[in-house]
Amino acid sequence: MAGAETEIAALDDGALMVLFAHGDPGAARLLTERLLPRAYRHAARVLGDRTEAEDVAQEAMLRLWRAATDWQTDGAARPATWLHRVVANLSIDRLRKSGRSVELGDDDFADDSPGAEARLQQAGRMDALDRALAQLPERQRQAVVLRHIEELSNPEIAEILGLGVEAVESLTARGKRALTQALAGQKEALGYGD
Amino acid sequence: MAIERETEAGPYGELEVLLARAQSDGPSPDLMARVLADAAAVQAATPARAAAAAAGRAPVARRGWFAELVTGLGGWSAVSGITAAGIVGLGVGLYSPDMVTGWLGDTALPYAFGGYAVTPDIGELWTESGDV
Repeated sequence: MAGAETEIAALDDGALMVLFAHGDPGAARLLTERLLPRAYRHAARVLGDRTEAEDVAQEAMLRLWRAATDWQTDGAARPATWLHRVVANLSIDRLRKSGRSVELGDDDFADDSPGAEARLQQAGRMDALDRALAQLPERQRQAVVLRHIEELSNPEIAEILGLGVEAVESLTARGKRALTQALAGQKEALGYGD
Repeated sequence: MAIERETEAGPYGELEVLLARAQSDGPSPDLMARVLADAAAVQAATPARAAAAAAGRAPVARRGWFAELVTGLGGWSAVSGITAAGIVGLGVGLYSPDMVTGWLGDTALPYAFGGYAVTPDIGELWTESGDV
């Protein structure tokens, strides 16, 4: 039994998609462990809202499950790349429909348990990062998140965003500079204030 | 150049720290559970034939129609019995009734004649139909 689990864990995401289509619950669990964190982080940093990010990540994963039956292992798209593309589109849709730059509220981090102060500071830093990211144009924001948080390659990001590799290089470079400038005004929130 | 170096050394350091922290952010156990529940629901709703069709493009072994047929008949032992019966039937059809009677040691023929006696002749049925 343990041998079978080790064997399935060695499979790539595409093979797991095929197993999932055959009804293998182990494939569903492994794909969730591998891909859900990426989908959630991507959505969370782009949207700047945890609840919305969870909704988007869940919806993207649901679309992945539904696509499993027709998944072609010899196709060009990898499940992770496919999923990031869905998250990017769903996030952009939400941002455009709401017409706002989302900010996390302090209530989202209210906690009286021990260690809450440290977590609050951590949450405050993520809040500051999200606020800075929210100042970037949509594509620039997506490119920065995918490059510097998810550590995807520029060709992968180009595929996800439907852009050329050179355009992605430009977006990530300009995005990182803009992000740095946006963070410079938030030293207090970051815990670096005098 | 001096401005560029100052930018690289200062704020970028803080940004790198933040981006590294963001990498450890992850979904809640509740979200994991919801996603797994969605997966189970999709798997339950996916027809087996659709999955089998997908397997045709997949590099994994799948059962062919013959294997399905053997299973449906009750396994290889049932297939062996059916094959033996078929061979005997072929023999009976190929050879003359006298030889078959000889093979059976005169045990099966009385049953055959008995059957002939109780079964109405098909020609008689036509005749009755014509009388009516």
